Amino acid sequence: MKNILTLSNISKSFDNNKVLEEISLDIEKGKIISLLGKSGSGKSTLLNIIAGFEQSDSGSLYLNNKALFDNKVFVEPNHRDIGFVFQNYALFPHMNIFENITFGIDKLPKNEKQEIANNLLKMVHLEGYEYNYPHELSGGQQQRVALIRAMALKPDLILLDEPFSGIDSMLKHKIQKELLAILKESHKTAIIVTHDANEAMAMSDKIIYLEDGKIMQYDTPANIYNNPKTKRIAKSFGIANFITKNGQEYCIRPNNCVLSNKGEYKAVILNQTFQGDKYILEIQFDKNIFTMYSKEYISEENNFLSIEWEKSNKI
Amino acid sequence: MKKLVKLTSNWITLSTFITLALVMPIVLIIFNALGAQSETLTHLKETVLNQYIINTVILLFGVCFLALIFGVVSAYFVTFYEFKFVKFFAIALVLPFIIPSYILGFIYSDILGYYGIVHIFLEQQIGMKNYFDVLNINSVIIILALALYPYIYLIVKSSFSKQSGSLLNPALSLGLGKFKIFYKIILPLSRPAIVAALSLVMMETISEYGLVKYFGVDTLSTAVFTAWFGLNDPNSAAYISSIAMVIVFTILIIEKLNRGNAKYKAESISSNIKKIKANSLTQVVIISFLSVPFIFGFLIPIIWIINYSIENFHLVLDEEFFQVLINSFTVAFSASLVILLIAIILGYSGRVFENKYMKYLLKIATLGYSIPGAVIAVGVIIVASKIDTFFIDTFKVDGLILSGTFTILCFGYAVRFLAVGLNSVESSFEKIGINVNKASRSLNKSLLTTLFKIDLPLIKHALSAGFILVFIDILKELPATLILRPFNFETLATKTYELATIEMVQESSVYALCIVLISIVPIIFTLRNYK
Repeated sequence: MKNILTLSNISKSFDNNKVLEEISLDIEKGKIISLLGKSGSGKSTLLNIIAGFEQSDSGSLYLNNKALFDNKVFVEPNHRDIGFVFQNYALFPHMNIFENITFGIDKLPKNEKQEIANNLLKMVHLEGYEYNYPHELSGGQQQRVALIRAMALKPDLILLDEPFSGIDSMLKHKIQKELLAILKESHKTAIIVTHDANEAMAMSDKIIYLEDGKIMQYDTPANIYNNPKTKRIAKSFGIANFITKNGQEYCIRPNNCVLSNKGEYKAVILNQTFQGDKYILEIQFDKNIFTMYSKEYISEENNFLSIEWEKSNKI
Repeated sequence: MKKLVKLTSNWITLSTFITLALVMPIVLIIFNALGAQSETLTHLKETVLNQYIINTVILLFGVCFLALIFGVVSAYFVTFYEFKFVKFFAIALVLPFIIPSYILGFIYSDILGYYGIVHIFLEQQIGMKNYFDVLNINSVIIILALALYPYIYLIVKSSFSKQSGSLLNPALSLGLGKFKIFYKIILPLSRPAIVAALSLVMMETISEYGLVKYFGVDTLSTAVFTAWFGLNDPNSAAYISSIAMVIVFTILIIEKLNRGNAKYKAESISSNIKKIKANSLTQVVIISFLSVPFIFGFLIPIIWIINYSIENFHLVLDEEFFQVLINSFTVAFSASLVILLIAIILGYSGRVFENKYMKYLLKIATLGYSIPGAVIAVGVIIVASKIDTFFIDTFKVDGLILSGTFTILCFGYAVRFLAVGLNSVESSFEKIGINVNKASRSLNKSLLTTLFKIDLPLIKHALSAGFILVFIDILKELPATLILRPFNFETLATKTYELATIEMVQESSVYALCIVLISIVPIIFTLRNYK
């Protein structure tokens, strides 16, 4: 598939602190990418560099094969055709929803603006809210307005900076689904910054895992979950057990562990916690303590069990 | 579409030029002072200069000591004790801010002078014949402390009330003595606030001109005037100005070093401080103490002003009075507009280009706020005369273009008061956050369009507040106005001062009343902020 965005050797330092180091990346058209990392990993800086709010110290940045930044060119944010959805949405509080949505296309004729706004509002089920002000809308509604405001200019790429950070966890799942549906329906390419691995797995076609300003892994959610390249990545995406065999460390997910009578390692159950749909077991063998799942309670008399695993991957 | 990288910094270039212009007077003073050599200066050095420095230092120590007692103890009582009229005093203690120190000085010289009511009363009641002279450095110290302690009171009170109840309440419940808690916990926690407030008091003290001049106390501020007007020696004026600047910068460095130690900051405001219920005797002590700065710093002066204003209204209310009002408002309005425009350009550049260069540039641009008005005026005159000389020499222009004009007066105010306007602009920008600006730019709007369509409409209320604060500061300003004003151009401040100096103190009350009435506005802002 055609690449829409290409980053080569992007580096950035603030006060001699390297925030981004030699970032190179290709993003395919129509894909939804999550930019995942802990706070301070450089993800917001990378997003700001793509949008043009920050200037990279070196490297190059191409959108649709057009240079946005290299050693000769710096295209300002207002000429990049990149949509941006901000954390807390950054809607203009002194403008109503219609004015917010049409802010970027205010030079178009009035009826054309009206048509675009109506279509966008319909897409996000906010018809009738044109003349409301941002503070009169719920968090979820505000977020949808922020998204269609960015889409009104028909950008090739939409950047979303922690779009779910201010949303109640009960509502989050619903809004994530809605946002994903809108992005997919409109065939947009999007980069979503998040620090939540579950959010990244639920939302994206591919995940960029950023650590200390470097890309540690760039892969599909399933591949990152099952084949994490580092211990830290493994831990970020859920419970991970680690074992060293012949000098090589392996990561084993709890769902890949099974208890049997013929396994290599004799195991003792230390603890069992009921979780409704499963039990979480804490198993000790040799000097290792593993976490695994069981559908049923394992009786105390069965403590002569052994543990084995179906899948492991080298770290 | 494509733009070269360096073009993105048009705003930075403009900000740099503005800052250079604003800092030019200060640079020229230092430049002139370094090469300053004249007979007058040698004479000054050999005779009175040391005395001027000593007087300034005595004033600094005296005012700080007294203002510290008024400010810190008042803040302590109001924050930590429950007593009658606590809410009244919380506000009343700020009121002395309304009366500029030079007006306070004129009032007390009138009340306590040879023909003043106190002297007459004592003479009639107890037959006191000996005249006690109030025109001395001790009176200046007391009056300045009364005028300036609200800085300490407000800043320290705010710091006290932010102190964590989780730190103080256990100390109280453990039965620690009240004074031990004050010394061991409250004071160390508030040290940065106290030092910051003290540095403001010190800078105001060094800047003071009208009061010290009227009371015949020669300080560096009056010496600048003497050198300029009396001895007609710009080099000496620049030299004395640079000494004042050295003292100011030393204070700023000490304050900065002290503020760097952030460990003293109380981190949480989780639980409220349990106030101590004062018994009857303590209440009497507290109320008596708090009444002193309130009565002498506000009540007596305001009664005096109102009384003599009523008495002299018909004498003063003539064409000249209205001309003075028009002059004051025109110059304050024009200069405030210029200052706000500069503040918007600099503040916006700092907001959009968040880098070290802009951070330092803004600091340099606002240096003038900490430098005495008289010193700035000398610097501004040097700049104006250099430009005038250039025009006369190069273009054979007839006469002076800048010196003694309305424009140069506005420029002087801009150097002195930019910090007030910039502070309003920066803090309101901070409140609305940078994302609305970025959002607009991501929607294909330029920096300039974004400024007009998004940023300015969102901060318009704060801008008008900033405008009013600058406007009032200009209206009250005396020393720079005295030096820079066009010939025969009187403002409320210069007229009040002029009438007082020609022994028409009571007649000056109407002008003083105008200044006082206008000065109430920032107090309302301040009280709203500190509530």
